[in-house]
Amino acid sequence: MLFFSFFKTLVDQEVTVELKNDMEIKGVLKSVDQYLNLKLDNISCTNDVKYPHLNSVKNLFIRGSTVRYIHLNPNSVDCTLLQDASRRGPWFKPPSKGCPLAHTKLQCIIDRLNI
Amino acid sequence: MSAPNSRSISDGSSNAEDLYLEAYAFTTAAALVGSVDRKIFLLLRDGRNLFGVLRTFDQFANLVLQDTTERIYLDAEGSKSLEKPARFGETYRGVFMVRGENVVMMGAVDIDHEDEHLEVLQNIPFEAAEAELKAIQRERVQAEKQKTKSLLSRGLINDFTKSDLY
Amino acid sequence: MLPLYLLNSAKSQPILVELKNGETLNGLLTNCDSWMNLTLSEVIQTSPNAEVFTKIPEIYIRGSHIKYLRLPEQTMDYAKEQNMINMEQRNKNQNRRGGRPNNNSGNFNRRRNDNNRGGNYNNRRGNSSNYHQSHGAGDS
Repeated sequence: MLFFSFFKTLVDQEVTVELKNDMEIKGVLKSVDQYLNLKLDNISCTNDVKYPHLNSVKNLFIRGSTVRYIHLNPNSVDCTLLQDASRRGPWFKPPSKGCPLAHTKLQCIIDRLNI
Repeated sequence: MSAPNSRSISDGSSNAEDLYLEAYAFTTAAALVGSVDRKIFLLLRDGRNLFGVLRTFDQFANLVLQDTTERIYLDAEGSKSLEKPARFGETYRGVFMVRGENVVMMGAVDIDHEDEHLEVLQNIPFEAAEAELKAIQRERVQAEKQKTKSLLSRGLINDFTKSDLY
Repeated sequence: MLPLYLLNSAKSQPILVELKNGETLNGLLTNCDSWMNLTLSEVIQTSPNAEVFTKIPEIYIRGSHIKYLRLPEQTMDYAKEQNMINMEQRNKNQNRRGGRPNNNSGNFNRRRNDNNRGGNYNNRRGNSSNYHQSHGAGDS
């Protein structure tokens, strides 16, 4: 769940997605879901000679399971916040009273990441 | 269901779409809502390129495409790689229903520009393209098998499966 | 209209199934469930390299092994029609139910209505299978 939240903070930033077939696609991250499926806008392929048919495609849905790496702009990652969030992961912190566990988990991260 | 020919209308409603997406935030399905009834490009894990109109989908990202064409891109004649397409073959396939797990990616195609890249490519019969592609893939599978063997013998494993050809 | 609903309305029609291993199966869809498990009849099985063809009278396919299905062109229209019919039927029933005072006799009538509906459904199914039989006869 932490990485899901992390990627949510990257929405509207430009990222480069490297697939397991060595394809690299640059685009603006528009949405992520819990499986880290991605939706990119305004895409361009770094190897557009090999995939000319992507020129007419503007937004792309990429299945999370086919992704190898996501290259990020270092400026868009708040490392201290991320470290903090991973240390303070919900599994270390007992849920506060009267609050459903699942909700606390997510809220904890979201508060940390300031989404 | 309307044909995806009215660009201005669909562009005008993109804001409403965004709202809808936000309401259903972060489910696989929501990401696809905006592409329904549009012409889309779909890449499968076995390397197939499909172009068709997305009609419906569900939470597993199972997709139904109508008026689908399958297209194979090949390099210049005699080349054994798939690096720089110079030829293509295509065939009409009709209604497709794809299981979500076999999808690599999909995106809406700009129908005004979709054929631009084909103009510089040579159109060849689909059967010929298919046969040639099969031969290339067979070689690739063979090579990967060899690689897996030698990796295994050194105690390293890679997870190439025969179905991953994209 | 979900993909699986569409598949349901393609019952008794010829479909093509490609499995993840590249094998293809051509046959009439006899049944399917919500996991996309299928049973086909009068199947022709084609090996991944398209070299071996086998005729199989009946086959069961586990949904998770499927790569994709190809359905007949008219499936979409047929499913849409079915959907419309169902909606109309539901609306009619709802209106009738809404118009009645909520007492015992109303309840009784409603139950009878439902029975009727079941009968209709069976009738329709009978008709459609007749249609397919005659259709098949016409083809041959």
